[in-house]
Amino acid sequence: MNDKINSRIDLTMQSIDGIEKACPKPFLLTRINAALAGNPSDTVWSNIAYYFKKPGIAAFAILLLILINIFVIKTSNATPDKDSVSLRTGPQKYDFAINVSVVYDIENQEP
Amino acid sequence: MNQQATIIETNRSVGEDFASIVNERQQMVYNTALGIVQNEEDAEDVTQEVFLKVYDGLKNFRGEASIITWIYRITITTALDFEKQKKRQKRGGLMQRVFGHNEADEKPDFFHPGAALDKKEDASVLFMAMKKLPEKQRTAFLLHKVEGLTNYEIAAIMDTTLLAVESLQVRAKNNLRNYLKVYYEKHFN
Repeated sequence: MNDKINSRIDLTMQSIDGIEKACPKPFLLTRINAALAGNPSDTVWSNIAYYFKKPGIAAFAILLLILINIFVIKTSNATPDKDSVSLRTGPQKYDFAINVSVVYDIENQEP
Repeated sequence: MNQQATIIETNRSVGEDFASIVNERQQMVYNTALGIVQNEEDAEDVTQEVFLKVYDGLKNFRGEASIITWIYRITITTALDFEKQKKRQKRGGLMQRVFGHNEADEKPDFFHPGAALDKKEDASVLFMAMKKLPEKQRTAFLLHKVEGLTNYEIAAIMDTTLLAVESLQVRAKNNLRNYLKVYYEKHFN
């Protein structure tokens, strides 16, 4: 049995000796030229996209974005701007809750 | 001799060079890619990708290595990357790795178009076994057997010594024999 297997292994090992080379389908150059025309690789945006596809750069960009967000949130909490203060203390005639309750009070008056 | 002639010819303009390189080297690229990815459609895709890379790199090609060596390197890297990407995408790949995967259960599914008719089945089993080899052993074995390159040429392509190539081929053959033994013990009838 072992001899049979060994001879089969020998035959298998020799099976690609003198193998013919395989050829691609015709018009390969035409297809490559079409691919080159369809994907101009030297554009600025493709270079930028290629640069940001690198995992290290992408991770750094995300981290930077998160840090900028944290910085903006922290600075905006520390010093409330004048506009937001004036809005909170502004005229009460535009206050929705007060006006609505008045309307309901008028409609539900007891006879 | 033919390769030497092509190397000298690369001093022509890039466009002219590129067309002649594609026409002259398409079989070399496709055959190498087919030996690695073992699928005709995938090999076509890899061939196209290789020539797109060649086109991009041709302007900066400084001729430190011969253009054929350079194209072979691009082909091998692109084909191996393509294969890794395909393995990652393959459904159930993770489950097979986690729950164990019996290599002897695999069936040969690639029939090289250049193999002789009476040897097609054996060649198919050998190609299946070649997929199990480590990348360097597989590359050295493939370039020698399928592309018919000498060890000296393989050493230049793999950027290594002649002794290292010989060692890789011996180890590749031993590993292939071991794998085939396991396979035939299960499938021999």
